[in-house]
Amino acid sequence: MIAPDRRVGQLAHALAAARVGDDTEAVHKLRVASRRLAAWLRLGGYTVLRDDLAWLRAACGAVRDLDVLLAADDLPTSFRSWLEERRAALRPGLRDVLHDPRCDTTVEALSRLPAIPEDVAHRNLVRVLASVVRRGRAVDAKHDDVEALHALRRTLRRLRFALEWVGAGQPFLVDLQDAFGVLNDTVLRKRLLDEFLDADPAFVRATGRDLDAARAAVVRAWTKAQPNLMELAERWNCS
Amino acid sequence: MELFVIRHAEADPREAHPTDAERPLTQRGHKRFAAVVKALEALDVRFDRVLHSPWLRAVQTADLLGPLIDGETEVTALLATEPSAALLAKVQGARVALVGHEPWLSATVAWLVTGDRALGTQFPLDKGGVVWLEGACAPRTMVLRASLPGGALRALKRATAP
Repeated sequence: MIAPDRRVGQLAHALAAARVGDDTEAVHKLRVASRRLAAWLRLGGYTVLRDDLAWLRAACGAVRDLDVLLAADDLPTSFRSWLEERRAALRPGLRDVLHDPRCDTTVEALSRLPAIPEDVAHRNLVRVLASVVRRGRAVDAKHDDVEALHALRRTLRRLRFALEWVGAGQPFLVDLQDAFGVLNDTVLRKRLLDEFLDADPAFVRATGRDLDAARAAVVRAWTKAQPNLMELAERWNCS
Repeated sequence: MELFVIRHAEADPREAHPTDAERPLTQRGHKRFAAVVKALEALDVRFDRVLHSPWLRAVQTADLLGPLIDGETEVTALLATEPSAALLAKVQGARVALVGHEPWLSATVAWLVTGDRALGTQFPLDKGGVVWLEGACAPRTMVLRASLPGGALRALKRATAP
């Protein structure tokens, strides 16, 4: 049986920490705990509570993404100030969400859910794995399709957490997720630069190069990971 | 809008659990409500929003509605207490389901149909039962379309099964 108790405790702890001031690390932990529990709900085949976690993650994600961008030390001053203003504008919305009773009610409801039988978890894990294989084929067909890469990234993350829940975590998935993370951050930086009217042309060009490099790194990492993934698919009886 | 007020399915007895909120559905409650869901499906019922109480038996009942849900679900403690204006404010959408507990669901139905929450006893819901309302979600504004006991829905499911 796979019980969510420890992770529900982490979610509650991160929620309490994120409510105090502007603790960026707590917001990150809250987002990750929420993703892990969403993966657990998926393993259990639950429909409910996933939207509640997604609502919480959306509010955390908007601020957290800017925290990550602002951690870079090579940002032009005007762009940095613009990002900081943007983050400051998002913080009240995050604070409202963190103090919304829905957060505590979600934790409360999660804490009461019974452990998932292993056979149910395994059946649903195979579905996640099949989804990765399917999305991987879409990426193989078109390497430069950012949407396909993004969809693959999301399912890989679900697979990583699902495997961790059944005690079969795979380091290669963590490495792969890191490569996808760099690509995602660069895509976001590019999108925000497109919105920023006073962008430094040299920085825009450098971001374009970073984006190409990040995309190439992801494709390399994905290609390298495929034998591990196929082995995993075989082990879990998933074609 | 169409509003479906749904009482949780049969749950374990109170004595078997430390708190009322922790009572899970029984195997029979699970099976019977799955039949209710099939019957609602046969009636072309779909939901673009499902609000449910955080108590385990309501969470599990709402989860069984999964095949009928096109939109979002939301857990709210407002369904584990007396009906309130705050609860009605949350009811937004074209076809919404509320999954909760007695006597509060009956009071909600009475309030929406007659304007008087105290008339709840006139609108009882059995376990797994569904009350179907239509109109703007405000006191004394909704019209009672149907009151469907769980048993009637299960009979409908049997009658429509291939």
